[in-house]
Amino acid sequence: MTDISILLNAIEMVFSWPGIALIILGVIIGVIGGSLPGVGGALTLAIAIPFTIQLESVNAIIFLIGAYNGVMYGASISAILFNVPGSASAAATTIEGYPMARGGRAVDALTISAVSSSIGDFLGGVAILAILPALVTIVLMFGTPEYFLVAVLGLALIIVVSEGDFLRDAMAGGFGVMLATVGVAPMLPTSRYTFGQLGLYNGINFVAALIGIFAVSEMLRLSKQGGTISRGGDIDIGGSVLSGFRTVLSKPITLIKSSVVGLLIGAIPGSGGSVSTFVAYGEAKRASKNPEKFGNGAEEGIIATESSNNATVSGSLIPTLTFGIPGSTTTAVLIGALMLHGIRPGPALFSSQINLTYSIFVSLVACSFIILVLGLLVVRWAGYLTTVNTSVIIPIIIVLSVLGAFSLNSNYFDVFVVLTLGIIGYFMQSYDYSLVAFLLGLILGPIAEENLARSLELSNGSLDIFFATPLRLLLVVATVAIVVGPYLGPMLKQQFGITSEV
Amino acid sequence: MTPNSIILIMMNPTLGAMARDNNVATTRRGFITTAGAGAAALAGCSSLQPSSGEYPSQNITYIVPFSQGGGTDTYARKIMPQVSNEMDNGIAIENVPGAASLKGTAEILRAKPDGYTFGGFNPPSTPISYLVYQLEWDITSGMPVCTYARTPYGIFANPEHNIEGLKDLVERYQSGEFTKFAGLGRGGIVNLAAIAMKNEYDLNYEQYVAYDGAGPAIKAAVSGEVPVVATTDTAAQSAVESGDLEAVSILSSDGSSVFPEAQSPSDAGFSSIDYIGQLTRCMFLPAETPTDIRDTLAESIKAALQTDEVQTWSEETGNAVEYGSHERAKKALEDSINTIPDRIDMSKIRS
Repeated sequence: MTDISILLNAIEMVFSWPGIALIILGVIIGVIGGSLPGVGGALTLAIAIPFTIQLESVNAIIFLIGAYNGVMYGASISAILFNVPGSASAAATTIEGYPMARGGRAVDALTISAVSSSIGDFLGGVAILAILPALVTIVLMFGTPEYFLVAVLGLALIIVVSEGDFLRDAMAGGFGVMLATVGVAPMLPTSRYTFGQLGLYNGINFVAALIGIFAVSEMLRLSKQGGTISRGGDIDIGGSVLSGFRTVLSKPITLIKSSVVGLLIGAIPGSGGSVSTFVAYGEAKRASKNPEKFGNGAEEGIIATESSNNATVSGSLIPTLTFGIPGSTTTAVLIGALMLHGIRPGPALFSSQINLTYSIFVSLVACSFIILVLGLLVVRWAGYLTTVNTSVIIPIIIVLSVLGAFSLNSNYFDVFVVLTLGIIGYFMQSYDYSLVAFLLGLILGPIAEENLARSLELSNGSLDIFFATPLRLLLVVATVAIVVGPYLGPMLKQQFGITSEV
Repeated sequence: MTPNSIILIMMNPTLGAMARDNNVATTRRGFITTAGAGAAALAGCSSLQPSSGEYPSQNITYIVPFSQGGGTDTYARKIMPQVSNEMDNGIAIENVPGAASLKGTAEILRAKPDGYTFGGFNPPSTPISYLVYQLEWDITSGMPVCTYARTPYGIFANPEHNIEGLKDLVERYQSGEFTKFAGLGRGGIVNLAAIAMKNEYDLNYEQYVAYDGAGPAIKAAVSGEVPVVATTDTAAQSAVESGDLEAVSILSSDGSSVFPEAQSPSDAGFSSIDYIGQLTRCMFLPAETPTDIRDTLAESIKAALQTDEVQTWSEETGNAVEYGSHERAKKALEDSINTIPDRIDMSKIRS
């Protein structure tokens, strides 16, 4: 149970000076960094860390949590405006957000994103505060076989995000998985397709791939079309903010469901943080009365992805804090910042140092209010960007993308990846191969490979390990249901319909 | 100038100064130096030209061959601001991860030997990667500056197994009670330490289970997926404090400041495996750097390690800091390169 006195102390600390000011500053810095294509979360946090050295450790951490949260929201801004997701989880937002921006409804989309993110943050933070002491147990439920099954479930989601021919999208996903085999193999020190180049030993950097496949390919596309990103004429700034607000509040079930998905799936170490938004998106599409709208700018899609994205922040902090398991490059930098301030992630954060942990999650709740205010202030201006001529936008995005890629690891191969995948992405999109499916393959392929190999080591080669517990069985059933559902569902319905008629 | 800096300097001069600060050890003086450097860069990169005369007269780059957030990076970000203070000169930290730290290490060794680029890597970890991947350049060619810390590895177990020391653990593996031994990635230091223990102590595990990082490995031992795990003492500290793990043995004869009571293999009557049981954190300059530059750097690092900032952090986190001379760094590197292939069949690691 939650210890009320510790919780109250945490609330007092976070909402008093300088705690609240630091969170506001952190969120602002995070939103700026997260929304700049090519900059992203890890770099934003790395920039912010040296400024925290003189701060008290608790203040430093809540400042960085603010920045992390801001990054997660900021990533959706570039995803909506330019089809450039700042993180893997924001990639799901491009599916509905960018078509809305192209349809002249960028402000609507950004407002929906801000409000959904804020509510997702709030629900995630509050829920996690309520069950904080039980969290270590939840993390321990997921081991190597579960990581593999969650990664496979994530790959199966390609069928959900698929907007056309599933086989094409499966091929795109397969291409991602194959590209991810470049580099040193996960379980053996054997290099694959590195051609003796040290720059390739770590494989294809997925952030570079993300920038290339989404940003550069989209800029190539825009360069052919000319004009502005928005093709919907003038934008009604004031009215759109209000209607966006109403839209979100009219879908409370989607909001709550997606936040819960973000929180729980985000807490699964390994692929949880990348998969959660796609699961939420898939569920929103399944439950929608108008599933045909999905893929063409469905508001519900953004509500689902953005609320789950920010609830994922709370979820992904669980494995990060309990065992120092980073779910992303951003959380890896966050772990470094914690250690720099004398805080070592581990189970002790949930026992002897629980005060600090409560402060972290209370600051997440505080972030929800700040993101709402800041987000709604930003949409008015950000929306105008879609009305700027692409001859101005394209060079800026390309330069930021290339510099951003090089800044990842000071590795020229990352720049080649950005440019090459930019061109490949352009042709993939031209021929209706899903970029999101490719990205899922690229991210989840190595996770699946590594955990499959380790699971088989643990079971001495027996596949029974994947059916050994109810949780694993549930994951297997869910994956099978996702894959065969779209085919079996209509068949069963038809059968059932015919039977009832008889 | 690092690429991180370039992006932001292009956008805004003020942010440019911030970008420098991302990589530059932050001291008031260091910050002013770097902010100035950012402005100069905007004016035509004049500050980037090397200069002759008194050392140091321009910003120094410290290469960390690991990603941000790792142990080596954390040490750098704590120590370098103090070194910067001691030298009254900006020090930029640049992360060059990749290829199991070999990419950044190659960059350190191939830099211009003018004292303005140096970096840190940790025998035997990086030398093992060097031996595994059989590279053509010579890792021993660098000029050792000093050692600044020692990080011992240890064996940690889930308390439910009631393991009473290393001898008991070996017996349980021999009896078949345990079959799996968990550690970090294959071909890395922990994998080789496990092989060394198998060869020298008859620790007869059937399966070495490799995890991608200390966090996942510790979690696997806490959850019962594997009975024991080998990792650094500091990585296991929190789980031991919370009672989720207990220390079975510390693999260095010099012991651990985090677990002073834990016995080493020699305490338990086994031969020492110090050549692989601990990381000796070292700093290196490119070959042929003038020795007076090395000595200036070494003195500043030694003084930085003694500052209250570093000492307090060290006490709070268990990240021990210990200064050692350049001879000690040289010995650590050469011992790794010479001893490991003698004791362990490296060809088996690659298959």
